[in-house]
Amino acid sequence: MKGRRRLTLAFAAAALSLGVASAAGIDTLLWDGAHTRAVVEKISDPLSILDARSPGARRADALRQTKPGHVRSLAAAAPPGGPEERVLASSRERPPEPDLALAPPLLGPNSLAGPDAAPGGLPFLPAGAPPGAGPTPAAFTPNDFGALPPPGGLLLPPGQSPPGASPPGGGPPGGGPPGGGSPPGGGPPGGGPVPEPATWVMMIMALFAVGAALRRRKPVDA
Amino acid sequence: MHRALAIAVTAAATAIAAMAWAGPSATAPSPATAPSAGAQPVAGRIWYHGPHYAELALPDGTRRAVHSLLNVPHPMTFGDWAWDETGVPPGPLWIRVDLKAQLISVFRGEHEIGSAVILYGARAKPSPLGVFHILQKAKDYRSYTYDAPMPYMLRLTSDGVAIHASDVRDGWATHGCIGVPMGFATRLFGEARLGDEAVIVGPERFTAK
Repeated sequence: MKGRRRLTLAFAAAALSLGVASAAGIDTLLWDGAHTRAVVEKISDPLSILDARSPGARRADALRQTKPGHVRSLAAAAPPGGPEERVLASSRERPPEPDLALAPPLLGPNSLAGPDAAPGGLPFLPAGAPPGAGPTPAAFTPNDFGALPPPGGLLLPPGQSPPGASPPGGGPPGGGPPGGGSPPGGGPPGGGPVPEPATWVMMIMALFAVGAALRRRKPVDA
Repeated sequence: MHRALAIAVTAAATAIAAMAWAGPSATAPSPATAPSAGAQPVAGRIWYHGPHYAELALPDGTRRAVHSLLNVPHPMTFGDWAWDETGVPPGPLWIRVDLKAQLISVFRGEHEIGSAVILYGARAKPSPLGVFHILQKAKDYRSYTYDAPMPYMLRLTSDGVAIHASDVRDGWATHGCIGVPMGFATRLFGEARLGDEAVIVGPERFTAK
């Protein structure tokens, strides 16, 4: 009985000390003290308080402008040497351009054969790529397919690079089938299969004209 | 008797511990639970006491006394804003836009009542610096020049520079206007009157001495 009461008292003392310590909040006290000191130091200059809440000065690069139109030449008017500011297109609701459509399938082998090709990187070279980063699209020859995996290897959809790029000239020249050789963009560029209303009207009028001509010829023959 | 006392003490201690456990998370939010983009909580005010109040210098050489500033506990990021005008006496409203800090501060008299992160003009289309006055208010404005919506527009110059709601994101810039978050723009639009002063301070700030 005595031991049990002592145990209860010890538990009570432990809980009480835990509660007091948490209520006092040693870390909270420290934080509050530092915060108060910082406030006291800053309080002489309102600008420092504004700076403390500021996200900082704007970066000089990678600026996007929120408004389109009319000022397309802004990027050209930027002083040379500095980073260029990109202006948004004229339509803000335009969906983002799909990357796969931008990458013709011929660029896939290029990215494979390029010395800087890295798995997971850009599947194609940007238009303004520095010389030496890889062969340009104009310099592509069918022999470059030698950089592809050997025949029977994995076939990749266009624009996707395998996890391990084979070294240039690894396969027989022209041996591999052109992987991903399907033409880009499946839709036909011309008009659709349904004629326009004007075409329908012209066709129906022609039918009426033919019918009228046939009906008028009958009495002549009779 | 002793046993009842021990049980009572234990219960009281447990209650204190439970309160202390729940207390700090409710009163002092940790940085991990810092609010996301949008309206930021304001932890009271930072007061200046006379007779020598702090001052903010204006580009035209005048100075404005500051009696209190909002105490925003966390640094604000793009899209954040804070507004608190409880206990602020009525007075003329004026706006201070700090391009270097990317901040706008709205004052009523000598007390700051609102602040937000802004967008400002790109290098090729810089925002003008100086002291301006609100020339026009339009809630649903659409720019003729850019064919773009500019809700809650407060026009500052005759050539189209205004303060208006915008999608405030990191790495974006305007064509000279001051873009503010939508929630902030609605409040500022509700408080601002024609003729109120708006000061745009440039990268080289006019520090008060």
